[in-house]
Amino acid sequence: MNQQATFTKLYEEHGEGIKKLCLGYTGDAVLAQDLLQETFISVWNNMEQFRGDAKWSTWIFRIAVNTCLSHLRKKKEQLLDIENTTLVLLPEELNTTEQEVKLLYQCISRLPEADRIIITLVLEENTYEEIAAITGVTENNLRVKIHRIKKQLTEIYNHHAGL
Amino acid sequence: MQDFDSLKNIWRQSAPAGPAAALPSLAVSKQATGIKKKLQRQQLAGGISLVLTAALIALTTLMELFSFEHWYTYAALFMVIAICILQALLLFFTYKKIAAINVTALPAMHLQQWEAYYAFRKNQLRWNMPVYYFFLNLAMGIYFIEIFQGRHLLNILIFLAVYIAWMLFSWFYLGKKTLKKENDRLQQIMSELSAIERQLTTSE
Repeated sequence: MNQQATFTKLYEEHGEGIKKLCLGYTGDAVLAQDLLQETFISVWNNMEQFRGDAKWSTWIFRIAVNTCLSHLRKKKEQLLDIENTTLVLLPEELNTTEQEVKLLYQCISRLPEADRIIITLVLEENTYEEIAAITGVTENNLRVKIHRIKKQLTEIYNHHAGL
Repeated sequence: MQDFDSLKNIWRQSAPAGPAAALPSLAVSKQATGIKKKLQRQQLAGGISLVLTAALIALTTLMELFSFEHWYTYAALFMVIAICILQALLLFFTYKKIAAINVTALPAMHLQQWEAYYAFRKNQLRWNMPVYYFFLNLAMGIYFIEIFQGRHLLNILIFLAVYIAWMLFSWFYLGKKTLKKENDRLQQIMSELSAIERQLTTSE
């Protein structure tokens, strides 16, 4: 399989997952699209470096994580502040799946940066082993972190869904 | 009241359709995409401009478009060329430094590489501009010695007043202001990177 064919296959397999990761990280569809684009351009530019030590998915998600983390916004967003943060959706609007999804993405984007990445990988049903390989966080530490982030995200979501 | 499994169900139902389904255009990689490419392009463009400036000065001098009497005038021109070349080399070195940032490394390591780059930039900003200004003005000062010979004193004084005023304005106002702004920006980026790195490396 040549580079172009491999690249197309990788995009078809992982494009959607990466887009969701970027969307969870930014909470903004346009920005997420830019990060997706940037990620796959980095994938293309670095494909020759792939040695097969890890799975393609781990390698690509790691590039996506690095792309997201090194993306610095000009205006620093407020981090987690359950009481004072007002999300875009109003409670009466929260009646369709699409709106629930939108609220979920917005809630994720209110978490600290690394937590957004970790929880998105959890929601994408990556195993602990895979998340550890992508983020470089040890599995034991990851378990504790995930437990805390799950609790935090559920609290933020319920807080805003119940407003 | 939703639990985490309910959130997982909501997540499963989300499918970013539309533009996400389109294959990214690889032609875009040659354009302005991403902070890394943008920074690399700035350094490369700056470096090339300086090399072209140096080449132009060297060429016009060699073609004897300037027929100076004194050796020190040529030495001043040589100094300007050398300053341009050295500054260009510094920009190319910075370009290489950015290119070496590995996007496939583990996130904490990747962030450390960015931090190291910004620390390098911050340090470079401190010494680069004063050194550049000093040598450039020294070269121009020597160059003016011959240029001013035989000219009317009033013309010399007007020219020098304008030149010095511009240099003082660009050093004390534009330069210092830009430096402070850039310094603050770099410091903020470094703090943010360091905070994210801590989020990844701190045990709970």
